[in-house]
Amino acid sequence: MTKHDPYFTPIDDDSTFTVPDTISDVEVRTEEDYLYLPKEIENRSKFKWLFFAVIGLISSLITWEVYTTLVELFKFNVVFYMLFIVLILLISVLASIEAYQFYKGQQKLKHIDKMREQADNFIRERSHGKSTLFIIELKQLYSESPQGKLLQHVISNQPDYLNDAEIITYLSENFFSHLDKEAQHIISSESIKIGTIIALSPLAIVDTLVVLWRTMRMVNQINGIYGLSLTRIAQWKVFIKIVKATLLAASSEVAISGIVDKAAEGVAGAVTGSLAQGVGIGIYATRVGIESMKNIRPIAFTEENLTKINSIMNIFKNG
Amino acid sequence: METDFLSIIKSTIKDGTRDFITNTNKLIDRALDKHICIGIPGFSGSGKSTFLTSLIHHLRYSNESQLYGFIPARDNKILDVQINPLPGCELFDYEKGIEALASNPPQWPKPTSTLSGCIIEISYKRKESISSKLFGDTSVFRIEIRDYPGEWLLDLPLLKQDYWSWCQDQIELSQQTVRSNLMGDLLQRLQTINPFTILTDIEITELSEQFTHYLKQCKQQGLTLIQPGRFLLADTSQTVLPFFPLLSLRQYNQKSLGDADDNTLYKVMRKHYQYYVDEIVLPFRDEFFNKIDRQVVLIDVLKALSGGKDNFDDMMVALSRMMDSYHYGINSFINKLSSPDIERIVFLASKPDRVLSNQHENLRSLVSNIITRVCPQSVRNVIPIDTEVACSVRCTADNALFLTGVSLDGKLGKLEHPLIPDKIPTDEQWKGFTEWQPTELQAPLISGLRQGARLPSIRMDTVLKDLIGDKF
Repeated sequence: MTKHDPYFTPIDDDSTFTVPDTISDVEVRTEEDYLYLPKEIENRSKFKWLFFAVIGLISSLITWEVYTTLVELFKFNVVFYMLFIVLILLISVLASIEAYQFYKGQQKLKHIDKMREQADNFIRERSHGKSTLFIIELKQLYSESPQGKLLQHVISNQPDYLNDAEIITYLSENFFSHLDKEAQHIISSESIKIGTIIALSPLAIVDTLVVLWRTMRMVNQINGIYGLSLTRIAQWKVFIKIVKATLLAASSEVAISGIVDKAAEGVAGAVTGSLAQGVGIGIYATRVGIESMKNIRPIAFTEENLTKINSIMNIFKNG
Repeated sequence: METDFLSIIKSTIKDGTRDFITNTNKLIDRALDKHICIGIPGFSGSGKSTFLTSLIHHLRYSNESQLYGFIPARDNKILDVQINPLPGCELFDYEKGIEALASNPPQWPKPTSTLSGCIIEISYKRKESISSKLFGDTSVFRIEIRDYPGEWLLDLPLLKQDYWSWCQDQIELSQQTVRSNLMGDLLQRLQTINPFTILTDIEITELSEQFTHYLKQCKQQGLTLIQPGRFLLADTSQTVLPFFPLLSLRQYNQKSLGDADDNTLYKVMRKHYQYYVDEIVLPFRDEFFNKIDRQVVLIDVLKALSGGKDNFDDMMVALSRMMDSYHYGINSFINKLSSPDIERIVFLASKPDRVLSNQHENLRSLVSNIITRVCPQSVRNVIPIDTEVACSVRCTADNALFLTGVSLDGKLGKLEHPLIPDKIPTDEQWKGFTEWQPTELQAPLISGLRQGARLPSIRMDTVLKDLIGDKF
């Protein structure tokens, strides 16, 4: 006979008892997935305040300088005073336009980030019929650009049975793949040009300026291909990479000069060093280009179609 | 006389040389990864012949087929597709299939009643690379495909069973209500028959015919696990000795049955069964299934769902047995050349055009759920397995809330269906399927099909990508 257990109270319920299902659909998350952990929030907020304080100080100084100049000019000559006011107004308008473009560009970038996140969710969830808004937003993004026609053509040919994940893959493979190819061509040709100039140039300062100029130009062109007119202000992350590339160019020039001085006294040694430096910087420029493609593409690359340096290398191998 | 002898020798040498050259070419192509053999197992009625006809048509007219997910077709890299005969096998009649689909009113390609096969030879533009500059920018890739009646597929598990264990299996099956009802008087006859008795050939043939009749009724009822398959659809080129299961065997000792005289019923049945396995099933397996690199398993889940729980469970058991009949694994170089293991499987829920496209994902999940049950972990964890919901020839239009299609008698109609569960249905969910008997639909009317017009389909691009996308 079973012993009475005082901790067990029978429930007067005739319905069938079901054991909850095993929770098995939880994704295993890697460290990289935890993007929202506030690791550096404190430091960033301090930096933000410091940044605004410096901006405020500079603005105050400029305002003070403008004011004193205006007072001095008014005492000296009214015509100069008026001309200076016009100049100041002109500069203010230009600065406002620039600031507005910057703001607009940032908003567009944020919007693209959001779209990329949405596309990721569609692929993961494999839902049906939820991607309509995404397509409308995509059409709006390319409405005034030449890419819009291609997008319209691709969307009109889209099979009616696709689920949201398949629609994203379809757009990625049939619309964005065309833009990817164009971006790859630009990256490979720019990388070759940068590499060649670096290999030929004997001066570190020339290398630095060339890398900075050409890389910025390449990033702007890539942004243009993906329909984003960020011609003046590059994304922060990409800019850091550009700075890194520039620093690498300068430092490698200095380092190679030192090595060449010590180890290779002949012409052959110097030529080899310059060539190696050119190839290194060319590959680095490729990396910057790929990174900007990843940042600007509204649908993230999958493992399968991720643009790799090798494929770009193939493009420039084949001319 | 002498001339005849010389001509025989000549033709033998000629045939031998031709076979040698063919086999050597095939071996070289396999070594270079330019020749693969694809198996398309699927039970009767799952749409193998239509699938194969559509597959060839899609490849042959790839520029018009809108295969957006299959990159070689999307980028217009496929130059030419030829259908060549497979040595020792009747040529798969693609033209006849297209002729049926292009007729008015359109017909579905006839179900396979005999063995056939073909080699699909695809000429394509290579990727730009150093090798394309050295060896030219065109390359050829060959796909070897064989077609056979789906009924014969369920004979493969017999290779692992002797007559005794097959009878034990049949005893289990005969206890199912649906089967015992279909057996009728035959059930009692087979349950009471004495295995030591001696029956005349006429009596044996008569019982075997009754058993065949029962198997045919099982097929009509929508059951899948029906053995022996050749009893349903005989191959006229081969002799099948009559046999049937003895459902009374559990009352007897296996050893004493083995020691019985050769003319006793048990011994005769055992001999006939073994002949069937050794002379019919084994050569079929060796010829058709031992050289397969990749597999597309067609599953008509909707038919199984509409047939009710018993039919669905029966399909699961049959699928599980079929899966056990193959060897799976990643091939080494040598293995690939001699007798490859199956290194990739695509499970295909066929005929999804019979349900709304917003139910396709549920159908895919349901198939995945079935696969976890029928496909052992030792296979799932070793080779890539994809699940797709694809239709080789689409015959309905999706109107978001209902489908429209033309019934076999030519009437346009609105089609609705119960919600498709994303897992194997519960008892409660099965109630929703009791009334659902999907109408047989007519093939779509397509003008210019003979000239290469696009054959409407669902996800054939994904199927091609999963199967051969990595080979271009």
